[in-house]
Amino acid sequence: MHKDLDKKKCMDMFRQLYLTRRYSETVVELGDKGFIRGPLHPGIGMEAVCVGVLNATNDDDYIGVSHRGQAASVVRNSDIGLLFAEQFGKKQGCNHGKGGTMHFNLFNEKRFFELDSEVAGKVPIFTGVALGCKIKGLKQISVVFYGDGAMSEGWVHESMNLAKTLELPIIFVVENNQYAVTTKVEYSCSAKHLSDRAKAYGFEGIEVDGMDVEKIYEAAKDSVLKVRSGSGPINIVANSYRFCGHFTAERILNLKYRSNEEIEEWQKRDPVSTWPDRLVREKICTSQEIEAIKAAAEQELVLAVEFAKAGDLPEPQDGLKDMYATEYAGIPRKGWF
Amino acid sequence: MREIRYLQATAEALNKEMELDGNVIVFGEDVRESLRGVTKGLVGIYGENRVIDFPISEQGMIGCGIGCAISGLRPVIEFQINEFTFFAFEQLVLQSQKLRFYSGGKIKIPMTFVVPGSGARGGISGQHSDNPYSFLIHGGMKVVIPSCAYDAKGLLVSAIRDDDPVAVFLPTRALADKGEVPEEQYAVPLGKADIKREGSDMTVVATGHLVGVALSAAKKFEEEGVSVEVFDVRSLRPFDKEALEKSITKTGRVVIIDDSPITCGFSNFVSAIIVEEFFSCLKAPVKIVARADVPVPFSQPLEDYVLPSEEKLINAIKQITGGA
Repeated sequence: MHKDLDKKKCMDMFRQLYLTRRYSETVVELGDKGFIRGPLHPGIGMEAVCVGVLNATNDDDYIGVSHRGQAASVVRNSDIGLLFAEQFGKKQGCNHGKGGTMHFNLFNEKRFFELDSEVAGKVPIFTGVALGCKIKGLKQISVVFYGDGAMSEGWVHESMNLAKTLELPIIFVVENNQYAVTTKVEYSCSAKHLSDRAKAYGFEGIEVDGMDVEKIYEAAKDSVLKVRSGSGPINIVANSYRFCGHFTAERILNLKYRSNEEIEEWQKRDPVSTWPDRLVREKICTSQEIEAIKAAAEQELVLAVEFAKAGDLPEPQDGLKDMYATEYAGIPRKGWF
Repeated sequence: MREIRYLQATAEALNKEMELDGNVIVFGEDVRESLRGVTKGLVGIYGENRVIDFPISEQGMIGCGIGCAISGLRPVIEFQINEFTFFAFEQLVLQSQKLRFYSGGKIKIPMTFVVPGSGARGGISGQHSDNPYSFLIHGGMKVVIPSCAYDAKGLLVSAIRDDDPVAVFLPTRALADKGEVPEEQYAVPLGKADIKREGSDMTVVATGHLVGVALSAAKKFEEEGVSVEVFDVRSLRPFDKEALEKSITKTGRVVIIDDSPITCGFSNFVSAIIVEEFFSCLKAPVKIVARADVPVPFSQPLEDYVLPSEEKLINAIKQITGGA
């Protein structure tokens, strides 16, 4: 086990993995029951990437995750009731019902933390956050997550080149879940190894097993140390898998892009079961302690959902609020009707 | 008062803001050498940490602007060429205009986007001649277009001090104009139009360099006994509806002249407001002189045919005033 991962940290990482998984499953259930509007893109199977990386960062580092990164929201947010409330469209939600599932923004609670539905659209922004940190001489770093599909967007390439040109304190984390919706990464990426792209821009690219939370933590810890000390950017490619479809509607689409055998093969390496198994096997903690964490997480979920259900819907006219920080008469316009 | 050129006024505004506020930084392509002159000499005063040359990566540049703003700085980003706006559209519209809103008002993005060379300068054809501000207004962005050196300095100052993204379009055809500009720093507020010339028979609502065109036309009509009021929009969003109402109440006749495309362009926004809200003031139909819906052609007669001009404005005014 990595030297930093003492019992408390190991168990906390399990709590985060488990809570994230159950949170995602609960969100899907609540969506099916009609409590949550809009499409859902759970990252079930990919939790270890966020958990491993985020545990290697400081609370005041800037974190940007993808539309599938609700895991990171759970890890970084002390009160997941605020997330459920947001998804229920309630004014008690973390963004007062303006952002919803795909746009969690937890700026005040834990620095700038942002979820993005615009495939990799936050990558240049977090590159800018890193530039800001560098200009101001701060020790904070920027960590931005995006998928294997998003890594072919032009602005990701612009950002990688910029990050090296300007020697910025940023970690680009590719959550490679093998498919951009239904398109396999071997098809969409011309490079043999996804980390080759970082090398092409002149900086280090590391590939790690995205199902092994310890290995991800280790890679992230090393990278964070280097980047914080001024090494310039680093790219971590975490090879992972989503057990669920691209979005919840996929369950009725009968798509053929992958086989059940393939899914089952990956599920054998599910971090939510392999990690606690290892902790018990290596006598880091007992199975009773694991069960206690699970029970506490379940209780936390129940309370969070209750909080969200009890919340209030926003006043309709609040739909015009929060557009501008410096306000002027007449904007935003709505018209007379 | 001393007279300086329009571009020099913007350079002065930026320089002074950088001196007053250490969080103001500037970046763009070739800003250390400065091809346009807005950022001339700044790197020598404020250093490479605050005056940053970027690779040719416009989406990345605007994204970095948003990120820097979120981290507490006030970035000013220069795009040498108006067309680059389209390259960066995702970041300008989907990100810079939406992030604050869907965060529930938690973050602010004090970013200034400056385009010194907007519109057709003549002989550069279709891909360097646009005025993409109507697109940005549609996307929610605050947009200003100074028509003269005084406003160029004051509006740029307000844009930099504003806590939201503001686009500042500096029309190519106005950049060399000279005008009276105070040496001290001052702000011309967003959301305030300016009556550049008072008149009683009709109102010409004009943007950017076309304010000068309108003033010239107004002078000619004065000799013929028609009193033309020239309404300089200055701030396209927020737009000064009150000032427009006041002017139209007085004159009852309007021509809008604007150099963005005639279909769904800024001129349509103004005419829609007039027709919907000030219809009872009108003594004649609203007329629009704007850019034709084609890319700007290269050859001079073709270019002249599709762009708004003084001659076209004069014809429009004559139609409404019944000759003169």
